[in-house]
Amino acid sequence: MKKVLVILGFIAAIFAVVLAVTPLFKLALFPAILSVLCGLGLLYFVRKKGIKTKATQYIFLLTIIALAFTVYKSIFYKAEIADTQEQEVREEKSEEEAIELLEDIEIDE
Amino acid sequence: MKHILASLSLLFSLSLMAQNKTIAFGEKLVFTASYNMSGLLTDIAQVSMETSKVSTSKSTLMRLKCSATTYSSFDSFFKIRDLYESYVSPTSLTPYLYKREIDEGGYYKFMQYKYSHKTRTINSLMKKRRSDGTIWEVKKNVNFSNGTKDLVATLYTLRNLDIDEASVGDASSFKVLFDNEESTIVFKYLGKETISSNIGTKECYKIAISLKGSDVIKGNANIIWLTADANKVPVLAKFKIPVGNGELKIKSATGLKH
Repeated sequence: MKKVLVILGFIAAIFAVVLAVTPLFKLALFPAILSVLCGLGLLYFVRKKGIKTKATQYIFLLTIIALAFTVYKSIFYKAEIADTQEQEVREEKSEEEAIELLEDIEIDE
Repeated sequence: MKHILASLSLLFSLSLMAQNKTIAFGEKLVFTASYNMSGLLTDIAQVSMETSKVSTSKSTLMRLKCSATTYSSFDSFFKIRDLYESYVSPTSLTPYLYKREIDEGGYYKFMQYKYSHKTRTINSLMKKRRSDGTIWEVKKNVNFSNGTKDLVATLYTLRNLDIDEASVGDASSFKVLFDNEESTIVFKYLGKETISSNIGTKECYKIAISLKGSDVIKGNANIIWLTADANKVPVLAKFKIPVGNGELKIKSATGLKH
């Protein structure tokens, strides 16, 4: 049981850190919750059964890093669009080409 | 049964011949496209729908432009630069030219349909980028049935329907040409709902969108909310994707007709 919690906790914590640095940082919350639960499970083993493990500390450390990234990005992240000029040029060019194609068209209404 | 079918087809043709009462030149709707997983919304891209006047030496057309651009934080992750255009008659929204240029994470595709309504044919041009960066072209002549439109023109036609006269459960079918193939898209009116959005709290028409014969776009999973006024502005759209849901929320609406 302890091994399962250690492996699951580590996988979830690493996954949370990876997600936290990507633009999908909000999704890091799910593996972070899972790693916290695994960490708490390991704490139970430490206190009740006297099995000592350093894994608990590492899992909590990674989870805190992931959560710190997520909270920071949630506060300071601004949804902005880059290179609008490039897009505008492309749209203008497309319109010019369309007008050329539409020259021979007559609307029959 | 015959009578029902006859009246349905009459209503359908009437809706196709309907005059444009909703869409004005210079209208601009801006949306935020988000990915929703268990209630956690992640803003991915900005989608805009714009209309403008386009004049040739013989006629004046309306340009319906829809574009999707990923936010800068997503550009290094998965860059999207999509442009959909339809050049339509300003009075009936009948399409004359359709262009679709998509650039999604390095995948490039261009589709162009030039409609010939007299011969009911479409001169289709498709361009795709090969893995070595070169472009290959495919030209084709496609026949289309009466009333067939492209995706963009169909979206604007939906806004032009007399939804206020519809009863809950009523459905309208439209033939849509996508990737040189005709499909039937069905809009089903589900009733009215009040939606709180960036342009205010609005009473909206709730409409389900499904594609006949499709396993992906079916049932009541894909829903659009249009304001229950003369502008019928789409304020919210929800759609299912294999993992989670997608959402389109209105950010701003300018240049509305009414």
